[in-house]
Formats: sequence, structure tokens, C-alpha cells
Amino acid sequence: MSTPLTDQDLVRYNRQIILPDFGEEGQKKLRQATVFIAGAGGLGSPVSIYLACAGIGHLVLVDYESVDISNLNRQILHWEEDVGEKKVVSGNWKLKRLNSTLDVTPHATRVTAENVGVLLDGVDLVMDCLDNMESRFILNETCFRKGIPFIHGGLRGLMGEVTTIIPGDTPCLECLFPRSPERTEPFPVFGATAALVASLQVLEAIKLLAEFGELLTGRMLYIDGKQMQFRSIRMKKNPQCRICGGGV
Amino acid sequence: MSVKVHLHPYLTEGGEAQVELEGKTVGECIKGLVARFPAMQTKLFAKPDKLHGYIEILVNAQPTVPKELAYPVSDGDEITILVFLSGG
Repeated sequence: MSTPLTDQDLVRYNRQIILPDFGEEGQKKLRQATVFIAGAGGLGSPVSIYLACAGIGHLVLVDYESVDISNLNRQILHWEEDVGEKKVVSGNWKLKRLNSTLDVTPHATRVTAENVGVLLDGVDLVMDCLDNMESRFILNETCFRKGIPFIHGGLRGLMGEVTTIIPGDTPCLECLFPRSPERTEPFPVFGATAALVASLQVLEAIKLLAEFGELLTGRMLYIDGKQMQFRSIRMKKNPQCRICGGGV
Repeated sequence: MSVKVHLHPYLTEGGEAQVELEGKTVGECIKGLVARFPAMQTKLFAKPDKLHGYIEILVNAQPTVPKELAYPVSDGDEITILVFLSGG
């Protein structure tokens, strides 16, 4: 059962509550939500910040890395003073100061086949902010098994991509990319590209959790920042998919 | 027989976003694509006849893995070449 919003909530979130499609009911749904953020780097920084600002109730922040000075061109959750610190420690500190009503559960660990089931317990939504395919595929498979929506974001240079995966309804990540792409590190990126992709992921999360608007389901949105063009590609399930079998 | 091919910006680098090609399979159309834009060869293929893992090909929005290059196409079909952007 949902608890009413406080007077402070009504003031703090007024500019989104006055959106007719969203309203107080939408705000309550955000407050009740637990969102898993896989990666506290280029995408995970703005994703976690905007979710915290929007009034999400609980963030589970997962990243095993420590802050490096080369992260600071894009990973806005981390500052010069955080170099050497675990990203989830740095992130937890900032996010709690940004919104003191937010619960954050930080995990300084890599997402693995062994721990993913426990990590995703009680999670309503997964934000894919990772930079490696192995963990993405593990999350994709577990989200499908547990029926957890999964909002994928990816980037390179001035290009980005976003899609929203609803288990059983849409193609999953492995429908499209069953082979693990070769690692290409370090990949080029501007912070603004990460911010753009992350903002679109957060808009998808808010709409999905508050149940309004149209989602990027069955579509991949491609962003070409160099030519400043956006394009949405329609995608169907792959009947031969190892994970979702397409027709499930 | 004409097939419309939609190209990802990673492949085009600001060039044409879609081209019309001839072929009875995805592989034949891709061969025509590379003949027209030779720089795409290394972006598409890890080895001759083996696409990079980050490339996926849709025909009329349908994924074509695992045998993308042999996937049949006919007049009016649309091929979309996706590139997985794995950075985060």
C-alpha cells in the first residue's frame, strides 16, 4: 500500500507532479521503486543523478572499479578528490547529499553469473550502464528469467543507442547480438554523449515506472551526434535466441 | 531486384545513410556495399566471410543470426545493419 507524499515531496517534485500524465500517483510509484544501476561510470553517473533527482526510492549501485583521473571527462558522479576511491563509495556519498530521502545500496563488485540472482532480488528495473558485454549478457539473461525490465544504453564517440527490453514482449539483447563483440578499449567518448544517452535511459525509466507515455520497446534508438541525427530502428524477436526463444 | 540497405553511422561516417543494392542474399548485398564503399570491409568483417561480433543484420526488422550472409532477400526487402555500441 502506498503512503501519501509529504508536504516537502509535493514542493520538491512539483515541476514533475504538475505534468498531467504523471501527477502525484506517478511520484508515489517512483518513490516505491527499486532501480538497479549496473555501472557507476559514464552512463551510470548521470543515470543515478537524474533518478535521485526524480525521487526514486531506492537505488542499487553496482561497480567494482575505483575512480581514475581519466574517468573525469564524463563520470560526473566522481570528482578529483575521489580518485582512488571505489566508485560506489564516491557515488553513494554524492547521491545521499543530492537527495537525503533516497536509499542507496552500494555493491563494490562485478556482476557475475554467481552473484546476479542475489543482486537482483527485489529489483523493479535494471539500468544497463555497463562497458563490458560479459556482464551485460548475464544481466540480460537474468532479467529475462526474473521478468525484470532492462533499459540498455551504449555509446562510442559521439554515437549512442538506447532500447527498452520487456521480458517476453520485446527482443532481448541476445536476440540481436548473440556473439560477444570484441573488446575495444579504451573506447572514445565525450561526457556529453554519455549524458545524452543516460538522459534518454532515465526518461524511459520514469515512463516505465510511472506507467505513461510510449517506450522504446521493439526499437533501438540510434543517436549520431556528429551529424546530429536520431533514428529509431524497428526490431523483432529472434526465434533462434538462446535466451528468450523469440516466440516465448 | 532492389534491396534497400540502412547503414549505421559507425559505417557511414557522415555519408549516405541508405543505399539501394542488388542481391539474392544478405551476403551478396553486402558484397555490393563493400564494392561501393571499400572502407567498410574492415568495419564489417573480422575475417573474410566472418562479421565482427558487434555487427548484426536485420531483414525487415527480423534478426538474421546465425547465418546472416546466407539469409535470402527479395525485391523490396529492407536490410538494416546494426552496430553494437558497447561503451558505457
